Amino acid sequence: MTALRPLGADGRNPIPASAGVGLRPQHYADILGAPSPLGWFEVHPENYLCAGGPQHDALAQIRAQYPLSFHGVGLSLGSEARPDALHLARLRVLIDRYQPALFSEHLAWSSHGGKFLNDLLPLPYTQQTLDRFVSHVDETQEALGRQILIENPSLYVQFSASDMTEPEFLNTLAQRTGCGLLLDINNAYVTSINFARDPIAYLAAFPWQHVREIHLAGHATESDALGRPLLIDAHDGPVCDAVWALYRRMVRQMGAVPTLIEWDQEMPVWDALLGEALSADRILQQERDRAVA
Amino acid sequence: MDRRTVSLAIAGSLLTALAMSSAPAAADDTKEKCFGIAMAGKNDCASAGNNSCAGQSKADFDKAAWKAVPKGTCETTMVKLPDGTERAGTLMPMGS
Amino acid sequence: MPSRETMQASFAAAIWAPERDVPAGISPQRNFAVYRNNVYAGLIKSLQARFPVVQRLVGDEFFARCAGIFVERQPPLSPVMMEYGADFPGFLAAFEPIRHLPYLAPVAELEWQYHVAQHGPDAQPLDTAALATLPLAEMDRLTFSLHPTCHILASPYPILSIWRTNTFDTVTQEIAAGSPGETVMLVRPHNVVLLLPLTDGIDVFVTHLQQGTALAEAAALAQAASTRFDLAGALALLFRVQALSGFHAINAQNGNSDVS
Repeated sequence: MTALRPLGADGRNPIPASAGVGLRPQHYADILGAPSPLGWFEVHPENYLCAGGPQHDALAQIRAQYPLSFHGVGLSLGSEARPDALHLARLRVLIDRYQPALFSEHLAWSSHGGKFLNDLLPLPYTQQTLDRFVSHVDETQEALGRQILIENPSLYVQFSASDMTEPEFLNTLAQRTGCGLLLDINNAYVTSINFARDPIAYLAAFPWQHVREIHLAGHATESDALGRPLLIDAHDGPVCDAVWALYRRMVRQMGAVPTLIEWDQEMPVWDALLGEALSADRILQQERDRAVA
Repeated sequence: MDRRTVSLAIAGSLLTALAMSSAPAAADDTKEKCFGIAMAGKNDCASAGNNSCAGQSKADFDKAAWKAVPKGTCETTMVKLPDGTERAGTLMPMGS
Repeated sequence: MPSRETMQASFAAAIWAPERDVPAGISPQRNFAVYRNNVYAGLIKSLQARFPVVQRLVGDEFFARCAGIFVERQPPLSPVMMEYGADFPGFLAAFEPIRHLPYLAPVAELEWQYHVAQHGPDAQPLDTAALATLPLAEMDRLTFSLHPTCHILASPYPILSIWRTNTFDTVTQEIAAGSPGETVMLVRPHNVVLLLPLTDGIDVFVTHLQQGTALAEAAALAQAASTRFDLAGALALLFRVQALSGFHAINAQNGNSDVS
């Protein structure tokens, strides 16, 4: 593997407070073919849990030029069962190899009874689920030897058992475990619209002081069995205007935060994805200028 | 042939093979022509179908009873069984 | 259903067994279908990406149905999706509606092995210069290490011909009924998986080399399998595609020596 860029003051290679994109194999050649204006890339580590091959080859080359963030999708931290020790060990090996600056996971569960459901499933927000989630985050941070970030999910159902809000749950989680938060503004929007709530109120309640990264993505607009709008977190298109507006609002409040564009289906050409990231960069810059003025 | 003769024949083949394989290959596509190697990955989707955190927008999984006939290429590429029998390609639902 | 079941147990059960009731305590109940769809459609898409030739052979609709049944019966046991699908060829082999298409499962196995080779370990090719300097008298007792991604798949069906026309041709070529079976070697010396048809005893030769049989004996076994076996040609092929990653000279000084 080629030499890594110099490590940041924190002993890692920090993610700049600028836009990055989710790295997908379709775009390896574009990224390696010409210098990119982007500051960083994010991958799902589960897609690199293999011995060798072209994906590792490309990731090693990209890592030699850019900081990386790992965005896990397999730990199922919201499960009733403890995190899978084997999966944690495999992630640790990959982390040691690529030295990502950030590692994030989801406020969700994906495994039950030894079977992996390959989706981010919801959990009720109660004292019991919070205590359990806290212990799973503690265990993960211990096993990976680092702070992790937890992301707010897109929700399609809610639980009658819940007795706290999602921002309250995440705030207590961050306080108790020392984990950071990943604020997915598209998820906040999707969840709010699906439950006929105000996304601005959700974001106002979000414990932004713990946020270390922002995600932006497109969603699909469907309608449910009663003909009401049902947004699906499909990552299959550009970020919508409403989400851009919420993003600008949050940047104004929080200052610049590393911001990732996620696009996973109906993959665009590289220039289109780059364009989305540069839109985020433009907002970051405008809000920086505005703060100074 | 005695062992020594066999041994020299093997060595001769090995050296011939080394000489043959050290001839420069013009480009990767010559491999396909020379050795019948299929070069896959023109539109490399080898990594598709891996982990993602996206949802599925189209509600396209419907567990209703189904009946499907193959509309693919199987009927034109191979229609006969090794014993020479030929079967119509109607695929019927499982136990429903 | 037992009432003491945990929330996640009933949630997961209702996803895997859609005839079960939507779990209690969630609203709106109608949106549970979103999760069910995410799970099934996502896993089916994963299998579609892994088995594009089988999908083309049976058509998109049939493939989706068939993959859906597989997902229900054999869901992933690991959170690493690239490991999902190893059992799909075996499932196809036993799947009643396609019993009259017996080549589908072997083609699926070829697709799975392609995927395995794609993500398998990297290795350097063997040092041909070092090999050339060995004493001639030691060459017949050489053994070789094959590249770790090297895999040989023999089938009574023309699996490589079917794979190739369905992978590369817009209009597929007809393959005559009763076409002979094919033995395929897969290897990924760099970033591209190569698929080679092995004929004329080369399959026997490579299989024995892979098992650690010495060169002269592997050559004799291949010769016995096919009078058309050409040792120099077979070795040249293996060198050219870098299917060998090391050699082991039994009588070299200091005992055994491994060179890669």
